[in-house]
Amino acid sequence: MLSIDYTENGADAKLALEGRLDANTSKDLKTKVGEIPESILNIDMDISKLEYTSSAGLRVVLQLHNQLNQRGGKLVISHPNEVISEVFEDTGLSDCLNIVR
Amino acid sequence: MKYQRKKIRKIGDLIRICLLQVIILGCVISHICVLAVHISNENRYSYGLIGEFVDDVGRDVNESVDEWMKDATSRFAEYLEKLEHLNNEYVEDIVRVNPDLLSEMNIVDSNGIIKYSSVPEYVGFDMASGEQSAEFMCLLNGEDYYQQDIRGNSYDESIRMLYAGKAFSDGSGFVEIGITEEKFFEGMSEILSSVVKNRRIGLTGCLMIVDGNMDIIGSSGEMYNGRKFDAPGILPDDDGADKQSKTKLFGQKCYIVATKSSEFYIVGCYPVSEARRNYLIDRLLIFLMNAAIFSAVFLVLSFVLKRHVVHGIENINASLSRITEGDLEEKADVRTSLEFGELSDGINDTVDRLKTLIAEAESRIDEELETAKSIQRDSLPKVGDAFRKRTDFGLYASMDTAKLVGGDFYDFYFLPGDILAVTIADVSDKGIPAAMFMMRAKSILKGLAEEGLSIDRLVTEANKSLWENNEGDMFVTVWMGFIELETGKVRYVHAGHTCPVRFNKDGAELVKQKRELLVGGMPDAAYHEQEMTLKPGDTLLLYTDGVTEAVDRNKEEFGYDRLLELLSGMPDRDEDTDPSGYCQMVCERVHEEVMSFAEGEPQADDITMLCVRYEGKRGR
Repeated sequence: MLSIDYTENGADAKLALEGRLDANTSKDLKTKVGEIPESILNIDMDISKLEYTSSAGLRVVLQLHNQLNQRGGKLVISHPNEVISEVFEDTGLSDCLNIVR
Repeated sequence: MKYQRKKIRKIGDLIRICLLQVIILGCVISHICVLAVHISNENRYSYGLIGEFVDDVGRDVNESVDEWMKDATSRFAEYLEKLEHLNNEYVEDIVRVNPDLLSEMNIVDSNGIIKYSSVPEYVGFDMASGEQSAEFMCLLNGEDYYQQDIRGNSYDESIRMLYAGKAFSDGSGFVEIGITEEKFFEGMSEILSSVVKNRRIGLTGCLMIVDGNMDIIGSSGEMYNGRKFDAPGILPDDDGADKQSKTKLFGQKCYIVATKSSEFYIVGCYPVSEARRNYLIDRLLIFLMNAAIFSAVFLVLSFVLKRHVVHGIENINASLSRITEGDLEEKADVRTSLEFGELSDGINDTVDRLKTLIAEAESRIDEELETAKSIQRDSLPKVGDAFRKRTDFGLYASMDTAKLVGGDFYDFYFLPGDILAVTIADVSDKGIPAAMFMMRAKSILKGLAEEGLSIDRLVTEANKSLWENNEGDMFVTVWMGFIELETGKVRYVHAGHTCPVRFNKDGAELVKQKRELLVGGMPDAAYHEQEMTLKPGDTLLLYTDGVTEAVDRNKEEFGYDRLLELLSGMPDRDEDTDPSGYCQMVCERVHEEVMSFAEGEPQADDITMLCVRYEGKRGR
């Protein structure tokens, strides 16, 4: 199960994820991310309550990161738990993503 | 497909609303009909009620009048019979002393000729000669008593009299007495007023007796006694039939029945207001009964409809929604009627057909996937016995694919300079797209390596290539190393992949230096070469996360610690085993261990391993 809470404020948006980001739920996230308008430049993605992410989940996050970069914006990922931090480390993503612990 | 339930009502509610409308309409129509009949009957009932009273009174009046006349006549006849001598003067005297009872008296002989009379001119008048008087001739033919109604007498039409006659018992003729209209009414009024005095119709209805002069001589409770009857139009004509009317009488609207009885009019009136009041209660009862009956009909009908139709539809719907949610084992089974049975069968047949089609499609897809899998497997280099003759190193690789076509791959090949290139990689998806991406990644990496690029440039270029036409939609984690077989020096790039394990007889450790970004995720990532040196007797195990992320039934992962523990306890190669055979043994042991850890839990990911044993010059 994954619950996605999305709020907009001008060019900024907040995206709070809770639950598990696996092969199935990452499709939901991908749909949600696809609906985010072009006008949004900066997204603060709060994943403090995200328990797990699969590589499919990483793909969506990476895509969002690249999308916002192209627009001149920024994706900030805040408060990943230990398991997910480790995944970011393992995949080398921790070096290129903006992660706030 | 979801219907907006707020806008579209449930069929049960629709039926109930329609039914309610029909029932209310029916109830109103039925009530109007009943009311119309009832109102028309109100007249009939009221006239009937009054009519009975009026008839009763009429009979009483008749009786009273007849009795009074007969009694008077008989008494005079008896008295006269006792007398020996009789003459006109005497008859006149009798009339004079009985002014209330008598206006005229005639003694008629057996021939029908008036012998004596209180009116001297009448003496000698032949009774048979006048129409009115001739009726009395019956008294000479055996009749004992005869009475007429008021009319003009045969001698003079203008004299209106009431005549009665009684035969003498010796047959010598009869006596005829007459009383004028005025005296008759005067005399009767006292007697008759008592007939209606204590009678009433209902609570406020009234009976009255009106004489020929339109004087009210008797009424219920003596209410109207002595007054003039002011509505002669409602009185019956002389043909004697009762006359019914609904009109105002003494200021009150009444049902009225009037009849004529012995020169008197009997009038019964029953106020419309009282009749209304009585019938109002009846009407209320009828209304309540109507409402109760229609309510009962509504309840029964809606119950029947709910039971036979709505329930059926709801059950079918529930089955359908379970089927659309994906439960193809669901059977619609509503057998309450032929139609629902057919509908259920239709749904079940459709679902069965669908299941067959899905199974066919599945098996076709399975076949295709199976083909894809085997193509993928065939693209990987064969382990075979190729290296069994090499003693300076050994190599074994295995891939156990999960049900879906995965994106794992391994690769190994020689490069000029006695370099063994080894690669293990994992594409971030499953299925055909991942398999195709994997093929692309594999051939790009190998192609660039064979072009002679250094390992860091090679991966950097591969990243650029894989980013194009993909833009991060898919990426691949890679661990790729060039092993100099001469020296045991390994130059490698660690791009987001699981850390390899290096172990020997003294222990096991993760090769955990700088880990860089996975490949294909970012356009301008730069990768760096890292170095380590394998000592003879060292074994390097490359693997994908299918090993470390295999879960048991408690969702616990196999993890690095279990892997390190297993490998550090791995026995060293003995003299009888060639290095590649040793690598095979390692891979099989790890695979076994992972499988027994997962205890039959479904395998979520490919388990791919590549194991290299370095012996160096020692082995030559």
